[in-house]
Amino acid sequence: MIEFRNVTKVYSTGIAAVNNTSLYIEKGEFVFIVGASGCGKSTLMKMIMKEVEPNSGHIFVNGIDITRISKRRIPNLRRSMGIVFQDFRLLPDKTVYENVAYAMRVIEADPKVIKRQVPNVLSLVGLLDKADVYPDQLSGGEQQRVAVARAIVNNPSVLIADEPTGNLDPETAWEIMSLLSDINRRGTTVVVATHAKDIVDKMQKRVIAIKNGMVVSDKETGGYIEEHGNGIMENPTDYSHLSKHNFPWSRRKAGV
Amino acid sequence: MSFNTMGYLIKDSFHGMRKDIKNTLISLGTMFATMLLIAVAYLVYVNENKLIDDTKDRSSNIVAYVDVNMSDEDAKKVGYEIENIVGVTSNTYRDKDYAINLAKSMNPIMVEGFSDEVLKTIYPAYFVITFDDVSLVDVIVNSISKQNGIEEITVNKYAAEKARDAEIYKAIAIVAVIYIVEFSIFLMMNTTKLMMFSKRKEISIMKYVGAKNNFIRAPFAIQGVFTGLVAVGLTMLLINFAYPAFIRSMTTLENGFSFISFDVLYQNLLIILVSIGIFIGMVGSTASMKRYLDV
Repeated sequence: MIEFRNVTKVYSTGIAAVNNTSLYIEKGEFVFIVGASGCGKSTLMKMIMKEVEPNSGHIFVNGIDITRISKRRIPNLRRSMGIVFQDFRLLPDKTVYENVAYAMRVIEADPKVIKRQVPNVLSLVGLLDKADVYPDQLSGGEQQRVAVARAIVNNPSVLIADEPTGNLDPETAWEIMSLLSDINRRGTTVVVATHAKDIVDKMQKRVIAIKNGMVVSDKETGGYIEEHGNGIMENPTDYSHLSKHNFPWSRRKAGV
Repeated sequence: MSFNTMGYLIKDSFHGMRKDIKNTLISLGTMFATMLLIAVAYLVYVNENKLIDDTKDRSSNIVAYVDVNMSDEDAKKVGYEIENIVGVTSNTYRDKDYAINLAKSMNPIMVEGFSDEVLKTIYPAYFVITFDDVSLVDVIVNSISKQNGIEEITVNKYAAEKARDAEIYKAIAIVAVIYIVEFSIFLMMNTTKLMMFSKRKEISIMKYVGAKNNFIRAPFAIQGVFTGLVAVGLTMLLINFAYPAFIRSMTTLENGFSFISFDVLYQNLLIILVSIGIFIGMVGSTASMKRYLDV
């Protein structure tokens, strides 16, 4: 579904945001990418949506090497995924309904389908009654639910969320995570970059920990990794799991 | 792009203008100023051209008088030589009989009592030489004066100088039009750049949702074209009243020049303004958003 092969990204400032990283996310998984600010998790997310290009390595989304696709095809890639940001990024001049419908408009969906699908999704996120309201009339949690609705309205195979609860209070943050979990249960692969420790601990999903641009831990159903001063994780046995996810192509070659 | 999508984009562009009325009015104001400048430049240019043509028609010529003793045959040979001088556009030979008849018709008292034989020794045959390029007058006169049998040359200097001045004014008008159009496009581009800067966040959101560049550009292009057309309409309306009023005020000065009437000009002016309005509106609004599309 999503695969990083020896990906490195060094910004022009000389900062190595991602350092020879490899990881594999299966279809239908719910994965947290955790780490301190500036560890490289947002860069990972940006590379999946092709906002940032790696210096070396390959990134596969739905089997396509997105490091090789042209700029012209970026919209097609983004249409295959839903994206949720910390700052919601809703179009201020459009109502809730129009914001969600916009994602369908860009793929030139049939207006009849839009009329049917948008209310369904708004109902799913609990905002059907606010369809005609503008974003600035909504609370932060509601705005993020609109962003989630927009992200899933085209039934994407993968949903990318970069710090989706960063601007929300704990209760609302939990609601959003529950919503993402519901979406995941419907079959959508969900990748969430966050440093919301409580939520990660509670959700008991796969957790990939990043430090200095490298994957330092990958736990199948773990909590947030507490880092000791020397950068060693509390459960070193997790590294064995890392190799399983890091080199899936070698497993395939071996017929595993 | 389907009709549904086109309809949506048109609707969306009008919705956008209504929601962002401040920027829409700024854009319209700039476009109106641009169109007005272009219209004024055009009116100056066409009237300047007419002035040049009028001046040329009136009397831009050289008259070269032939020695009275020269035969018609010899004079015509000289005429061929004159026609070959660079810058000469036409050369008409007027023989002695023509000159005498002209004198009789214009000033009969003067020639009264003289026989034609005597008059033939007074009124020489002459050439009427015309030219287009006023700057070549001195060279042409010099070349004619070197021809055998040419006794005297007169140049309608007033007309030539006026025509030369008109050529200078025309050159100034052309340069002014180029600068005005350039300045107008610059003005429009900067206004739209500011608009796009304020919309950059929305454009990036559209990109993240998977919108293709043309889908994002279309509403802005439609807005630009619409603004351009409204500005053209306002300009034509204003010129329709202001230009005839200007002509009337200039006519009272009795300067002898008649301006081209608006009825003759409006069709060409409309075509020019609509073309430029659509071009600036579309290109101005879409070109300045290019950098924000690279997300």
